[in-house]
Amino acid sequence: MKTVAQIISWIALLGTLAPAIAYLAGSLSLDAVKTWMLVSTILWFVTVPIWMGRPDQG
Amino acid sequence: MADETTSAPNEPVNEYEREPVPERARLGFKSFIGQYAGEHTAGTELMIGPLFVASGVAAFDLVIGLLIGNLLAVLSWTFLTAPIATKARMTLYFQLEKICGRKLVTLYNLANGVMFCFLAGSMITVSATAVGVWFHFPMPGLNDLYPNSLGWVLAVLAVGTMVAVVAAYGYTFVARIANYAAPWMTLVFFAFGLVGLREFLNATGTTINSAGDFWHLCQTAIWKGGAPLPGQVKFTFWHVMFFSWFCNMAMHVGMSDLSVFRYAKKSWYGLATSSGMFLGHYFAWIAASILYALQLHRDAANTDVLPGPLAYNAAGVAGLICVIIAGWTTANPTIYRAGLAFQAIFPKSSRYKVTLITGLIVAAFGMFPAVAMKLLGFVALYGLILMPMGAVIFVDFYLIPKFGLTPYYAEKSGTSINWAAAIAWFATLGIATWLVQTGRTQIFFVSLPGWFIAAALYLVVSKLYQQKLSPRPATAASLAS
Repeated sequence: MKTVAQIISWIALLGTLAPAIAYLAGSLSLDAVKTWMLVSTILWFVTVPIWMGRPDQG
Repeated sequence: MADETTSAPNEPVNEYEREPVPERARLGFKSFIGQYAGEHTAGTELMIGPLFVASGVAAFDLVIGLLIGNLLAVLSWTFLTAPIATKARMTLYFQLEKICGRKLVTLYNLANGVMFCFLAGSMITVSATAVGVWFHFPMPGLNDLYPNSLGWVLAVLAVGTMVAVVAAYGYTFVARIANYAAPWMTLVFFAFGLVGLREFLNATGTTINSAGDFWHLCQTAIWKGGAPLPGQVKFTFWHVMFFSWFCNMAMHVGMSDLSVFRYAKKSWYGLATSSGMFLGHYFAWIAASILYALQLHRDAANTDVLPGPLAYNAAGVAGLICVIIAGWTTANPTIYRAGLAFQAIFPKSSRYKVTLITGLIVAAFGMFPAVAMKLLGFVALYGLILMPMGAVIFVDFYLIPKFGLTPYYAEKSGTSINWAAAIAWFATLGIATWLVQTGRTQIFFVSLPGWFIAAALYLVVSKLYQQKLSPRPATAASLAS
């Protein structure tokens, strides 16, 4: 479960930045950027508590 | 950063406020990376970046000035704050009490706590601008000092109350939330910059074929230099460098982050602050400044610095969430620090209650946009006021024993006020105020000579002052430290 959540989290992070890069390159509209960033944000905050925040191992 | 294992859930935990942090509670490098990245990728970055543009900054001055200034800040944490923190392992307040005595440290704690409250208030102000985008109430302009609508007051109250409640639950919980948000938030700030750049390309009809083209766009359209907006101070390379170095002066040179790095296993963990200085301050300020420059490029009359609308235009609802969370995760540790400061004044009171009350005071401060809109000057003032005590701690730790004098003098002599520290603090502030008020220097630069003045004063006055009192034998607590 944690591994799955972690993978989804990393995809969500990618989905947070990639649309802006695509917009800079001229291959995505600004509205699409905003939609993808919102979806990615929701995914990140739903999945990240499942795996992050374990006691630090140093 | 607390030892939760010995505490019941939702109860205030032992955070070693009056004892050195034991080995079992010490934390690894990663904890500090996440904390500083989250804390310094903050809502206020969305104020500071635009205020640079409003101050007429030029491209080279911004990009290189920020690079050098933030590097100096990281080095200050690494070579000034963290070495003392990992040897003494005490909170700033407890260490100061041993040096300065109960009465002086009470005054310092009051000043520190109040400054933290203003700073956290500006973070709440920033978060509330995001709420304004949803509810469409009038929001403050660049030169506004007072709240200008009921909606604004209610929004600040709602955000502030939430922040206060969360901050009261303790550092570990706050750090966990900041850790959740930090990686995502950093990328959203990057996205702000990338979207802003594309919009600039569209708005100016520029095509980028080389680094030279890009730099030309930066110099002629984004950070054009020239005169500042009305009411703002002109920022040069030196302003940017000193501002970015001293932006967190109270925390590194001023030693406030002794309370944070006392948990670090090694002093080089001070380098973890680079996550905040570069991923946070450097890129976040640049990204935010691009968004504001774009706003001015489209409508030169629209000088409002409102992070909510800036973020919404660039990244939609995700941008708004970022502004709220960025303000929240930064206000939390700031309120926590203010709570520690006030608790040091009332050591028998519960940290939970003190932090909660502090958070509610912060919410009240947040209603007034004056601090947020004058953030560049306020941040410099905040560093200046607290910096002399950092010099006192540095000298007491390294130089006082070398000169045959007694460190932790107040504790060892039993005095409630160490006049050497008091004179170093007040005289430094007096001299700095005179230098600024008479136009000999600006507030952004005065803290550097101020540190040396405070250090020299503390050493010289200690030499004179300590001869008048006979130190008592060292206590067990002082030996343990």
